[in-house]
Amino acid sequence: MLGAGLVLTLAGLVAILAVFASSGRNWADYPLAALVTAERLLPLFGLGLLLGELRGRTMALALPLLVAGAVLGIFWREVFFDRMAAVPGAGAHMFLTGPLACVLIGLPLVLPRSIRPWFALLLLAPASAVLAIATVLGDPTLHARSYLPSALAVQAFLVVVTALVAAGLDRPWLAIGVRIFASWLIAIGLLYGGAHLASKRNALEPPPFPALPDADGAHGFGEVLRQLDGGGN
Amino acid sequence: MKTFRVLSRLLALSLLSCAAPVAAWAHPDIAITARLLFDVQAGRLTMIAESFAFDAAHSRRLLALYDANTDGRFDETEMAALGRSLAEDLEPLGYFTEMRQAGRAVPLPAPAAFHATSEAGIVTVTLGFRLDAPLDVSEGRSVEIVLRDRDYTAAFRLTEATPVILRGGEGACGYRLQDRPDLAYFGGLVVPQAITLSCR
Repeated sequence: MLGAGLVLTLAGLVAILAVFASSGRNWADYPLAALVTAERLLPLFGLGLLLGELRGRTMALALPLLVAGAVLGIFWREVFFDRMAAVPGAGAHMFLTGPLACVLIGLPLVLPRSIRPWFALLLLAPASAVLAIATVLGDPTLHARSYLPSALAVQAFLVVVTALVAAGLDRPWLAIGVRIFASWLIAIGLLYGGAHLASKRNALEPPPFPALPDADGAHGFGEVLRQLDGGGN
Repeated sequence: MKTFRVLSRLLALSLLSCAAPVAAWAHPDIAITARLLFDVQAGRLTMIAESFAFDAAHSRRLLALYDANTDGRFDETEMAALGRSLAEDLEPLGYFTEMRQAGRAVPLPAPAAFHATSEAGIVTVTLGFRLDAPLDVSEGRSVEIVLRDRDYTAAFRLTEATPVILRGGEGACGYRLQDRPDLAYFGGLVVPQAITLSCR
């Protein structure tokens, strides 16, 4: 499993670099650049470690819970927005989805292995839901159809690779390392959450609105009216 | 063992660097200044056109994606690709346009016309819709339009200079702009503006 994880990592890195290099665009304009932040990557890494530690029936239950959580999160995200809007400043910080994901995934990871699966099953669906909502909110495109599938696929890839490596490296020191990482994950989630709540930037601030050109004597509608009146496109 | 210690320190350092809160990605990411055109013929709304100007950063992205020859403008082929892509992306979202008459939602059809320009780094797209069944907008049958992106990826603002153009129905038709707190979205944090078209 370790070998499979490493091969997948290498293949994924090569694929991402190839796509980026061939796009000829700035990194900030790359739609998946929003994924490369600590509050998005760390929970994914934690989720991979958590899945890598689950076995048998627990694993069989975990996967549908993850998928169900993501689907419910995407479809009912407005209910989540409504609930979280009551938290001061949450709206300006993607409704605290990043810090919530850190805490929801860190909690089962930090617990002893004997009780970890139960807490994991309890928290996997909400963790998956907030990660999915973060993905939707992190969309830098104008709802490009390709964004959500590709962003979800890249995240699933990261989780699977981490899980395969963690499952392959079943050593006592890894168990200790995982719990240290989990306590960091919770601490970072609380730190980010606290920083967002204490932030003075609580307003939703769009970029500067541009001026609409008033060309062609028809307020810019001349060409479209010509097409509409002509009966074609 | 030495390698393991070095790796542990590297991991600890990278985690520490993650603990430093950095500015989150902006939301909303895109600002759109809009203008609408209503075409009214014999008391019926037959066509709607919408002009959207994108902020400088999103305009740059659109030019990077669709201005293949990098001349800073869209030729016919580039414009067709941009129009096709936008129409496909925005169709599930109703082109950000929620139209209602007497409480009944009136979905927009696929755009029948499209044009895009780029001036001083600002990309403006204009979409034209020919309504499948012209809407009777005679007295007491007003039509209300709200422009909004419920995920607030894009923030809309009607242009201050001539936000709505009426074509036909001069003298008999008019429009009213009104904030609608009852339609607040994105957790109730964003209050949209509604455009109400009515005729005598």
